[in-house]
Amino acid sequence: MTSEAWAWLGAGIAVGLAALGTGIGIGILGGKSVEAAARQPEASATVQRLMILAIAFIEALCLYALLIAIMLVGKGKETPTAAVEPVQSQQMSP
Amino acid sequence: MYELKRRVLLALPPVLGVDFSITNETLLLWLAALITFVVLRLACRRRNVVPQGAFENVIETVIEFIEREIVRENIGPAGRSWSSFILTLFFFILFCNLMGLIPLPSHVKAVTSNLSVTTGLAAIVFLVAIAINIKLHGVLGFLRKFWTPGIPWWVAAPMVPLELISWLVRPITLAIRLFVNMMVGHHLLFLFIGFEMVSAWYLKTIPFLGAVLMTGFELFVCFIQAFVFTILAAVYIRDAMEAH
Repeated sequence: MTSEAWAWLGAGIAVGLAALGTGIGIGILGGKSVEAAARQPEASATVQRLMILAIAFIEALCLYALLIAIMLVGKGKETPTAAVEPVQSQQMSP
Repeated sequence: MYELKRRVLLALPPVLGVDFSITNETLLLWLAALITFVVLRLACRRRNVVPQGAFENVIETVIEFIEREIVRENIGPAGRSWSSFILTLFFFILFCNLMGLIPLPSHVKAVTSNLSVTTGLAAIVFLVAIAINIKLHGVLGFLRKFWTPGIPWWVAAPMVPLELISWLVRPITLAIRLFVNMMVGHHLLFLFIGFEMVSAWYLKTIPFLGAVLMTGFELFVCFIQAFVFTILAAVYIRDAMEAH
């Protein structure tokens, strides 16, 4: 497999694993905050604000992985190798 | 992504190895600072206690919201003296982020999607935290913050470097979080538009709808990321004020 293919594969795995953790984290967070708002409806404004703040932090972690994926794809691009004649063959021509 | 490249408008010679050329991003930074200044000045022009009119009320609501989060973090009179710094930081980052929503790709982009800009902002917050630490506690008191008294040496030996690293990584994450959110928003938008451009005519509306929703989410993210940066700056200032 070429290195470009490995780079794409790595990018996909990076974002997939990061999204897994983010999904679990935000899921637990959302569930707990909805539960808290249901227990005490007067605090629902505070709970909503805290939930959005915490979601921003967790989402940033997933976006770090997306940044790494984009960097991987950018670095993995192979430049097309031009057909360069070696120097010896030119010198050997009479 | 090719339309969002930085374009040099006025190439200045490098000073001490640092390139000071004026690019379109430099102009956008100045524009964002100008907009911040003009908006906040216009909102405070009438010296009434009660704001009148829609514009003043909106700005007043935002300022009150930020001040509630600040004063709750740095409780007391010390919090009030920092509120102008925190407010300026919030409005500057907000207007920088919001400029990325203007659809003029080769001229206007979100300046905070440049890592150097967010690193500069995070460096300011970091230097402010160090300055508060050194001024309030002295250099020795500042270094003593990373060490809990009364722990055995074999716990302190790994703990102090870990505390130092986790403290040093704060401005790095501050910079990268804002940068990544803005840059990834652009990239995902380009991705959706790319899908829309290559799809058959009967499927074109689905990625386009995705792009529209993505722009709406981008607007949300602009506000949230400005708020997260500001509230973390307030938390770091409060941590610097605390004596261990």
